Amino acid sequence: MLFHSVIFPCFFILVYVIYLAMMRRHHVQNLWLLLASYVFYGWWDWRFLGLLLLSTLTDYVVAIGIQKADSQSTRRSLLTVSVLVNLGVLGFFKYFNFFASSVTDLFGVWGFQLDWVTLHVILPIGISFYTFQSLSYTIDVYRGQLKACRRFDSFALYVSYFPQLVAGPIERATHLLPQIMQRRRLDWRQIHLGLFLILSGYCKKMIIADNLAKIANDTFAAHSTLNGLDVILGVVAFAFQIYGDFSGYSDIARGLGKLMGFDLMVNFRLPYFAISPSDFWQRWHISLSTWLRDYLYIPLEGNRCSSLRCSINIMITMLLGGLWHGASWNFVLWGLFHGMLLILYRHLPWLKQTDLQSTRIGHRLPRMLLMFMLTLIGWVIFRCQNIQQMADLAGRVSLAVSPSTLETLKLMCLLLVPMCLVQVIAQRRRDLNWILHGPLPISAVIMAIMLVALAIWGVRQTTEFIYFQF
Amino acid sequence: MTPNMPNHLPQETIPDASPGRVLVCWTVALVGLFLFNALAGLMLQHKPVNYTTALVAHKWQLLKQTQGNLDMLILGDSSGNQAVDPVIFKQQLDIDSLNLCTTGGTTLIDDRMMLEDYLQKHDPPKAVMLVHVYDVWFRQAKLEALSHIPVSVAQLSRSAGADELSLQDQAKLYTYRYLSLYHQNQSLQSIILKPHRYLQLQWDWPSSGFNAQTKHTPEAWKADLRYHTAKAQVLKNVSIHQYNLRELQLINALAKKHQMQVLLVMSPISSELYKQPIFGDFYRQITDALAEYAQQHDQVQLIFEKPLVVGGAHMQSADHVLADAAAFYTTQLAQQIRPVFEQENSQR
Repeated sequence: MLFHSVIFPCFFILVYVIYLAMMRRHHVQNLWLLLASYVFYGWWDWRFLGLLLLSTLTDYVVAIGIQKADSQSTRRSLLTVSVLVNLGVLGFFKYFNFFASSVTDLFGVWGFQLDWVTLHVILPIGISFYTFQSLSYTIDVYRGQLKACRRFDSFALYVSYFPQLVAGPIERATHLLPQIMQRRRLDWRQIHLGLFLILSGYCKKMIIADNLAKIANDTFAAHSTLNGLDVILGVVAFAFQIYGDFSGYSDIARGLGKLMGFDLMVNFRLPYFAISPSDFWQRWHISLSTWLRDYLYIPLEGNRCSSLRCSINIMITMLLGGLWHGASWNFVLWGLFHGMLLILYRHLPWLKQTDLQSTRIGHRLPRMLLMFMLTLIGWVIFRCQNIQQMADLAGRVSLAVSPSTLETLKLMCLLLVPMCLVQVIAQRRRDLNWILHGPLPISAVIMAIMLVALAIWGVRQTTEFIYFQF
Repeated sequence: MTPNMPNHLPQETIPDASPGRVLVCWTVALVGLFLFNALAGLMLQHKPVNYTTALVAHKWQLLKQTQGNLDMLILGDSSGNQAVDPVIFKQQLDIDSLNLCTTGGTTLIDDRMMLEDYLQKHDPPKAVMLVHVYDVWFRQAKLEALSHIPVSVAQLSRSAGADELSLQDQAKLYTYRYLSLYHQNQSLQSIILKPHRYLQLQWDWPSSGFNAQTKHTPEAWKADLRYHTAKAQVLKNVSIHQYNLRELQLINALAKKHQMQVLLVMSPISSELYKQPIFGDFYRQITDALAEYAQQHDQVQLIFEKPLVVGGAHMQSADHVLADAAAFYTTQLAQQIRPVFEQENSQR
């Protein structure tokens, strides 16, 4: 069930009305939300509900076991069970064919023909998101940062809460579980923000992402016939497509959460205003980058070690971060590319002097543009099917224009300039919701413009969110 | 909330808003949306961007403006709009006629409504000509096309499928009519992207209602041939749609009441398409059904039971002729219908 399909508003209104009617009994509300979440997930393929339940049951039982265990070795063994089950399921469904074909190819290079079994494994939607979310809970319990949840329904809802189930944000149990366990309160300010986030999310998805998708798809599909500026525009279009698509989904998820009294974490903080790679990863898919930081990078000793070891830690973290996105070598390369950038920025003098706090345009703008260009290179790696395509695209970049360049540029300006203006003000004020804080007429007029723009420019064909495939 | 969030990053703060402010804010935004929608609707009604929308509006305007005293009303779809020239009828048969053909999307509903409207204000014509492409006969009307007909939505709703029209479709008819911002978004996008073109846009409609087309695009014609052939292969067996049959009955009843002749005319068709056996067989299912209907009703005649075929060089698409072929087609049509008017004149 897609957020921008016809069925979703009907589904949500039904769920919400009944949810509101149960406002005084939050455990009943939780049961209702759990049922709704399973319906939401089962809408694609009910068979995969089994995997969701397996992950939920394993971590529920393991966490209680960890808390009860007297010895460290038992605790460690139980944690290992949780890690193996979660990553085993993820590994099988997401990476089996990738590794199988990679090994076959490798042996093929040496002249061996492996009769490897390739299974037609279907990727269960959102598996990377809920697996990481569930796993973080067991690790937190193991670390003593959280008490094991005794109520199965509450924990199951934590794993499967439908607004963020299939494309995040990847919530932490320390943040979401207490909200599930206690009675929620709705107030006007939350509802106001929630509605605004939903509107903003739909605008990002249906106006920005889906319109730019046509330009980006054409560029990457017909790259061998394109030249010059068209290639650059296509890559820029993809950069904003993936941003609009993913941050739009996060906004809608967070907005829906707010309407129900939940606070889901902010997943994007104007990523293209980043002035360094570390700044970028504090702004882009924050729930994943902080997950990788807390559960992988820091346990590897982070930067509290030698410079070489720290660089290795960064590369391991980013490589796995890349691989999280999908079973393909381009995601591995993309992760390595960002890892390399992080290391370079730690060591090159001019780049090292980046002052994140600075508001001087002379300091920020050149660094921001440089970082944006590096990000674009990253998106080329991310989006291309193979290295040949990457090389082909890179070889075609120039400032030459074609008859369609001006039209494409005009459309992109029309779509992106208003969004960038809003974001420039947000960055200057350091306030993501400045529109809601302004004078009433300005807020209302901007929201009316967003509604009008959605009606005119919103793409109606329901295209899946890009991050669903991860 | 993000764990250990650095303070150089933009924050999300909860707006400090009273219930009154929230309500006013969203109400103003929604009122703004509806105002803009109404303005867009008025603007597009006054000067439509879409050819079909403009054509339907123009033909209804012609109907409202006519002084009556017509010998024949020419009703039908877009193929008739660009194939039947009333000036040639005047030259060859000395009759006054008006081409009110609109679009296939409205099927025969638009024809019946125009005829009713004409008869309410004027004396009946001697004949009503219904010019349709073969495939209009087995189609159901498109709600979007119907919504452009300038009659009440309730009336349209009844016409679109009597009691069978679902609530959802009825609601759709209302949204097509009143939510211009949503349903005419392509037109609005083109205005926003090219405002100068919209300002310069002038629809040039001849008073006869005949709109000659001169642009020949072989690729479009070939694509249309493939489309029709594929349709014949897929659909195989077709018959006149029940709603079209109902509309035809209503037109026929009016014709009986007012002593008019009903001329069912098959549109010209590309010779390259008709000579394909699979298509020819498919096509004849409709002409056979119409011939049978005509046989059962005295005042109904089927013209071009064997269709008038035209070479691809003179066609805009598989069933839409260019100006030179339109002249030829109308001349041939005039020969076919001459007896109707001679008979009428002798009777009067």
